[in-house]
Amino acid sequence: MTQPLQPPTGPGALHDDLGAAPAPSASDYEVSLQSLSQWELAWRKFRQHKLALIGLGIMTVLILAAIVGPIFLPYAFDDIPRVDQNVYGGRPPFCAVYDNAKHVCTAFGLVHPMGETGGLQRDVLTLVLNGARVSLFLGFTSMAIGVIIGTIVGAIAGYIGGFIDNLLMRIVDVLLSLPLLFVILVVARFFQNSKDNVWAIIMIFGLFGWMGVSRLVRSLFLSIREREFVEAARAVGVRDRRIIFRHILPNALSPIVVVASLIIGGNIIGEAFISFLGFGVNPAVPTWGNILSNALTFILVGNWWWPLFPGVAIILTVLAVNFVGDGLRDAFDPRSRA
Amino acid sequence: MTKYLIRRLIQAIPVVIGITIVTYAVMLSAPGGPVERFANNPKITLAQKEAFKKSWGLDQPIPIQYGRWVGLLNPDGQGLGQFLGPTGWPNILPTGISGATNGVLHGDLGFSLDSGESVARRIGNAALPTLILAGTALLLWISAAIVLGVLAAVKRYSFFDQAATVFSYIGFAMPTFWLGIMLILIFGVSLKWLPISGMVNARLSPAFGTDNYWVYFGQNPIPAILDIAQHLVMPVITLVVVNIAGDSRFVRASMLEALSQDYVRTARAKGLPGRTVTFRHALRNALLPVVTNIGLEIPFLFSGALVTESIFSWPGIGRLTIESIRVFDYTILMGVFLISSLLVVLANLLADVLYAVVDPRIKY
Amino acid sequence: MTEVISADAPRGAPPERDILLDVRNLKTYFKVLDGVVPAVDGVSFSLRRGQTLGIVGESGSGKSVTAMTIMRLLDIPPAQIDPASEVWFDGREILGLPMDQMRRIRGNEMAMIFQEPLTSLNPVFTVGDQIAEQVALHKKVGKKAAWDRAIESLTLVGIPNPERRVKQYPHEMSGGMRQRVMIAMALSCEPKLLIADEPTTALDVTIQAQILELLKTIQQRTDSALVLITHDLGVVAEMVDNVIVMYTGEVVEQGTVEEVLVEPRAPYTMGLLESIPSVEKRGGRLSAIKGVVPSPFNLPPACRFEPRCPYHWERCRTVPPELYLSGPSGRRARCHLHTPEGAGRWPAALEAHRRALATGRELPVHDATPGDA
Repeated sequence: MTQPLQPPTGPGALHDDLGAAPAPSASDYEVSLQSLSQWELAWRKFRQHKLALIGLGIMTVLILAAIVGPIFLPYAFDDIPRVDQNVYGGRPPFCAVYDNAKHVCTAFGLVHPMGETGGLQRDVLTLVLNGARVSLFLGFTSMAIGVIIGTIVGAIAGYIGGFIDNLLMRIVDVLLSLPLLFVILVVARFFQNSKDNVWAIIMIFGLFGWMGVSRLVRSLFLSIREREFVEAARAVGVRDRRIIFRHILPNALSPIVVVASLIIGGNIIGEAFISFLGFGVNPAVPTWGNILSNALTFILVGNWWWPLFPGVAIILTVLAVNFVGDGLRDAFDPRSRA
Repeated sequence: MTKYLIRRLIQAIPVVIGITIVTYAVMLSAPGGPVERFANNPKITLAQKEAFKKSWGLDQPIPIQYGRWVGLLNPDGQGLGQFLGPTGWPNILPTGISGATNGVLHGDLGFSLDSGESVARRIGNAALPTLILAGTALLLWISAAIVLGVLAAVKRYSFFDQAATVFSYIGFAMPTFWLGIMLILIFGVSLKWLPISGMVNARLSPAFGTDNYWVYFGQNPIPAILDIAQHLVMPVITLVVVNIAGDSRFVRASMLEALSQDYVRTARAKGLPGRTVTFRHALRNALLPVVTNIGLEIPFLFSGALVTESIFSWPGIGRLTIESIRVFDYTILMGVFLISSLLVVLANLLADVLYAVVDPRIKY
Repeated sequence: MTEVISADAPRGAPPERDILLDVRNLKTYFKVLDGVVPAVDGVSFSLRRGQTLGIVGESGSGKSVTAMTIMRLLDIPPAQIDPASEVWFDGREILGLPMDQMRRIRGNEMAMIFQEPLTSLNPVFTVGDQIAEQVALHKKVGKKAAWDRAIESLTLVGIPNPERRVKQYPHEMSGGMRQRVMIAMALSCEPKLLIADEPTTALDVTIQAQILELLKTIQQRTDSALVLITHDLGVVAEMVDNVIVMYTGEVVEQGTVEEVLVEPRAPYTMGLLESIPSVEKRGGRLSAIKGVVPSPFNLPPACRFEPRCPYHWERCRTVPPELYLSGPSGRRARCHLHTPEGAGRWPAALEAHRRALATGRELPVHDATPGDA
């Protein structure tokens, strides 16, 4: 649960197997050399983590499919429903002709690999891929906003300390003792009626998702600012801003990256949840949560393929980012540096 | 210990004040303000409208509104006299002393903007179903998590352990509501084994919580309980599966940590049988952090309830909340919000106290 | 009396009655990802009833693993014990004993004291609970009797106010006190053999002396045999009758404590003795054994001490030395200096050692290994 707050090895962790690293300019000397080798090493260890590589693979495939897929699919997510057959019941995967009365597929074919929904007769694969565009974009962007805010707040609290630190951390305490899901639901409800509210939802997850990061960054800053190389920089008169961005932040980056990867998964599930309840992204925009929400209205018809595939897509995505997070944690953990 | 408790309670005060401020901000953020919300609602009586406006001071500056809502200020007072209650004692003191009845501090959460009922009553009615659901789920998932986690740790790297790992990875990644939907599809729609929504069978008994229901319950206790139990199965499974995932990992890690300790080696060197070593010496230590963790998890039951209750139409706090959000019933939301935030603060405190109780090394 | 090595009973046959513990060609391996680590590699020794034996070596020499193997406390796997190894205890071969029978011996006839008194006691039970649990298990007595026995044991190890102490938790006691509790626990069932693994390493110097004194008096009073595992030759000198010195899982020297300390036969023992600081050597240079203990994956081909040895020659790199008889009454050392081929070099080596003890030694001039301290 708690992941070690050990910052990466200090400067001087040079490795002779790096080969020809470009010579740093004099002003960059303090950190750039060291951080280069650190990321190199991390990648080396990450590659040995099987699950992490699988996660990265799944991620890549999903993102590519989300970008490219909808272009090649013969349907659009907002096609006008055809009235040729099955106006109501939908069709299971690979079913060409479906007998609605008897609930059996009478002819199979290479159509609708994830089935067709009841009601508006949408191709589930088309929905899932279009949903991936919104859901993935939302997951990553809201994570980025949360991590940026959290890093700034944490860095200020940890570097300046004193009264400011106290104030900021009490605010974090208050925010963390709120039932966040509840707050998010209420705030999301305000934007429910606006037509294109994707950015509103992104901002909500960003604005309510930075507290954990700020606590982490603060503790990292507290420990790193006492380290010798920071004191040395301060002793020779390096300005605060430079110390924060050039000396401390690079050393705090790896734990932040690990936490960031876990936030993506949380935000994707969160979005799906509030959209599912009807308070999220505008129902006309396909997101995984919206697809599931619509599926629920047809649940009594027994369209199992309708909720199944978007759900599997969510699980796969979250599994993938969590695997990558695990891999990153191991890769950055100086104790497992074998 | 008492001293520590008092200190912790004092430390919690700023957090609680912060929570009330945020809660009030939620109220103010209502589109058009609360007045608009109930101005044209036929369910709200004229007297209620007047009482509401007065006690919450909707025409007053915001600090005074807030003070009245909290119960610090007397709505009948003027100037500094606002701080005094009807009996002349400060308004903030308990009703018995100050005579004040307004504000959160005196238990006045207002009435529902939607239905006109007392907020405290609505929440009170919804609390029992939530307690039944969350309590059952909590009990099941904690015992299951402990059993699974301990077995996985004892048989580390075995097939069972690896299966448990896969299960928990997937459990982590699975949205609660999706699991609920799939359960409904499989056990409710396809197999028709279990009822898919509600808490009681409407054809057999009156709605849960009504006076008629309790009459029915008194006459047919066993069918009534069986009926609830049937409706309970799927929501409980939904909550349990998702929560077991994280907790069993936690127990496993904690147990592995305990099993690698020197005192376990000592216990074996004493000639104790393996079972005694595992279940007396190691488990006892492994459960220390687990106890704290459970204390911290209790508030999350709330968000679990939000999801589960809304899928299965369980008439608890979660569904009440969702419905209130849907119709912008701010007074109910503020009540739920306040209570659940206080629950978080209390649960944190409880976790610390529990830790001191189970671990002899910790003295406050 | 001074004979340490096995009484040479045929394989599979019990040793003579007087011998309490007879370890024969003990080999313990650890299977790890990178290969197999021979932690204990062919160790033999025996111990008579009531006798004391010191096992000396650096960390990683296999001394603790030897003790853990005898107690059968190692997890198998990753540990693996060579099937040809034998450990005879009180007339029984115990490596092949079923686990439930072994458990009846452990803590009852054979007890162990560990290095870390801080972590070796369970923090959530009172010390009385922990001692009484063991007594109740082995002596089949009631709760009350076991509890009385716990108080008695605490009295025996010199804990003042035992009736009060017995109800305390480990964290309420000092380190020295906890080690006394560990000793009391080990003694509670009056074992025939006590194994103490670095019992004083984690304690303050003043407490160390008290605990050693206590171990000694108790050993004499109860007439149990004692195996004392330590890296400290000074401790050995005061405590035991016989010594074996271990290096990379092998015994390199054995003899009575006087013989080994006064006239060491193996260069490794010589080095250990030379590295003890003393008043006579003040001003001179304190010598450390040069180099580091070799990795268990990359042991030198013949003599394992050869890269660090000031007296080595070609033979040491080609022929693995055996535990040669190197003096009267069963003294043995694993060094070619005690073979006819090396006999000529022995006087010079002994001379160099004595000079080093007196003055401190300049580091010998050799092909220096990287990582030289």
